[in-house]
Amino acid sequence: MKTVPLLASTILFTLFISACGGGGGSAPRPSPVNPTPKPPAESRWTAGVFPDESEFKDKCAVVRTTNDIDGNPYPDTLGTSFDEKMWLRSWSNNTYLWYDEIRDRNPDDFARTLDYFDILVTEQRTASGAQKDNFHFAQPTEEFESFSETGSSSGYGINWAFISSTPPRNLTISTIEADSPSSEQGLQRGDRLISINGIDFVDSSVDSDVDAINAALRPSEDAVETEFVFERVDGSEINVTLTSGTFSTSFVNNAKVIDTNAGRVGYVRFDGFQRPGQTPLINTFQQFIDENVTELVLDIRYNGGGLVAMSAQLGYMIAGPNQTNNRNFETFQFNDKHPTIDPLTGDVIRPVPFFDREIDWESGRFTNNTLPNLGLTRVYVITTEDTCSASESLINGLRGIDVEVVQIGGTTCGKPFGFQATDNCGTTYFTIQFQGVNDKGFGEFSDGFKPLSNPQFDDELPGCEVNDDFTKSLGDENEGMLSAALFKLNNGTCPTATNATTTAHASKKSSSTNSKGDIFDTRYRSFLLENSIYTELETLDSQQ
Amino acid sequence: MKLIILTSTVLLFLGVGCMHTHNEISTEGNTGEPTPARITELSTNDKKMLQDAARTLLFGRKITLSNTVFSKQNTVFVERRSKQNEQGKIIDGRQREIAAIVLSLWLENGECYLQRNDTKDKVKLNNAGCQSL
Repeated sequence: MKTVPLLASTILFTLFISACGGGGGSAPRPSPVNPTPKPPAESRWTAGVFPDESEFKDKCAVVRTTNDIDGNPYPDTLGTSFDEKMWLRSWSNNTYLWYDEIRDRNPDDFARTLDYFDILVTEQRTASGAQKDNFHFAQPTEEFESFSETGSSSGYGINWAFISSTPPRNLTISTIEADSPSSEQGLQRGDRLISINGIDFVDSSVDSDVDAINAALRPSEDAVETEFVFERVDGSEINVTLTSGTFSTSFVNNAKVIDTNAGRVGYVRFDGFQRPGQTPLINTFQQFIDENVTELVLDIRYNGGGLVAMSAQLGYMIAGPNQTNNRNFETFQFNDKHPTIDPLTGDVIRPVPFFDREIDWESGRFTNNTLPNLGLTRVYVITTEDTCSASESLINGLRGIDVEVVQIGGTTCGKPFGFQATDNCGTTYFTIQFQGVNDKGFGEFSDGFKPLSNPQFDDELPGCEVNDDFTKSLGDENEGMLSAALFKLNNGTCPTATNATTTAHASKKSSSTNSKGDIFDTRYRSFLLENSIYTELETLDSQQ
Repeated sequence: MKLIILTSTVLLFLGVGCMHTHNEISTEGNTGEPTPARITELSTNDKKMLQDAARTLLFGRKITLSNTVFSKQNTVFVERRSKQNEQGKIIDGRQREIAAIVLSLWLENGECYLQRNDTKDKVKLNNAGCQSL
């Protein structure tokens, strides 16, 4: 029985997707039966000599006896922690994007496997002085293989803006999930947290209070009742008792058409390239076409990325067939050991085109439905540092075909990279393995895309730097960022004093100093809003 | 078509994969065609039952469903929870894979069951408030 009929599919597309693994996606499927014993691996480290990673794969200090998601046993065989470290070393040397910037150090100098993984990374920095690789991490495979409904988040249905994490703390609501108790009780964007369960959230530095705050903000289960006091934008206070749960996210929001002197402007806020967003996104673009929209403001200030395929679809819906035909949306480039063959799949590297059709996410094939398109030569994008990954792919992909992208807001996060989650011996590793480049071959925006009045470099875009405005609802034409976009669209210049009435989103990043009471103090690494508990890997490794 | 009956929420497995012995019921020959179903008012028990059933279909993997799952449609995408930083921001890279696991809710001969679409494995839901969509 199929709930979604398999419509005619494109063989080439099927091939493409079958070639795809997934950053954040599936770990490679182990063999359904225990593999034949492997030959003895190198038992010593020799500087500069890298045996094939397969010599060490699945040789584990502790062998798992459980099954994978398809019911097959894991392919673990008994080995040592040295084997695990040697696999990491050879695997990194083979697939890490900057493998030649890793210092080759003796695995025996590191007691724990994870400590060794931590140093298998470039130590170089970007032009801005930031670490070149900010996306190097691992997690227990058991945790990686926990599932959730796509687009759902656990908590109270509140998405927060971290304006200050040290006293005086400022945690402000950025958005509310529609079907959550937070919405039902009237909480709004801009409400600032004052207290939780009677504890002073803003100023308390007592350790027990900080623990209680973290626990309350991160309920570990459903049906936990928590008392909140918020200060509203007008200075009044609102007291609510919220019950924790898991709430679905609406990815396409506030779509509307705005009449301006420059013509009819479509505005839509798009919060994630996730599968449930496809249909409402298509419907929104059809609405814009039906209402003769000639300009578009795409609000991706909270869009942290997701499916590259959907980003390629959105690129098509913006630019249309004439500009995208035979052009590439994004090409994944691996290190110089793999110029033509994707080392993660073994397939020939093929560019991702601008997809012009709806995707059946269940079968992984195109449907027969051609996407609507606006055929625009210019788009205004609203961004913050939360605009990331596939959102940046969209910006870069459109610039690659000379669509003018006008940026309103803040610098994006700077993630032109990807990786395929890889399990070995119960830990899933993420190391940067490829970089996305556009049709012009550009993909170096590790410091993010920046809006400037006079851009000079490829990672600088024409536009206006504007802070997020928590005093207004999203979609409100007076909201700081949308207002600036409309001003720029109508006048060709940025509004003056754009920051006058806004809250400094740029100040969201907390100080690196761990002053007492910092809710991001390493003592409180388990602190997470909305989602799963961050489990430190020390626990796992120490068990080995 | 495979149907795994959950008796007292205990599902039996034998070795690899789902068990298909005397607990298996084939829908072939049944007169009632399965129809898409939904649960308009999901109780705490309903949600727990759905999550337990989904966990069975995912070979014991933890799964979290929303409070409104299957309230408007009979299918739901499920996927691995993305790694996030201290602020809850996803730190995974680009997602290149396309196809996702889909779970669907069905009514057949007055009985409600949850199906994992790619394997066609099904788990019966006893006393869930399923309605025809």
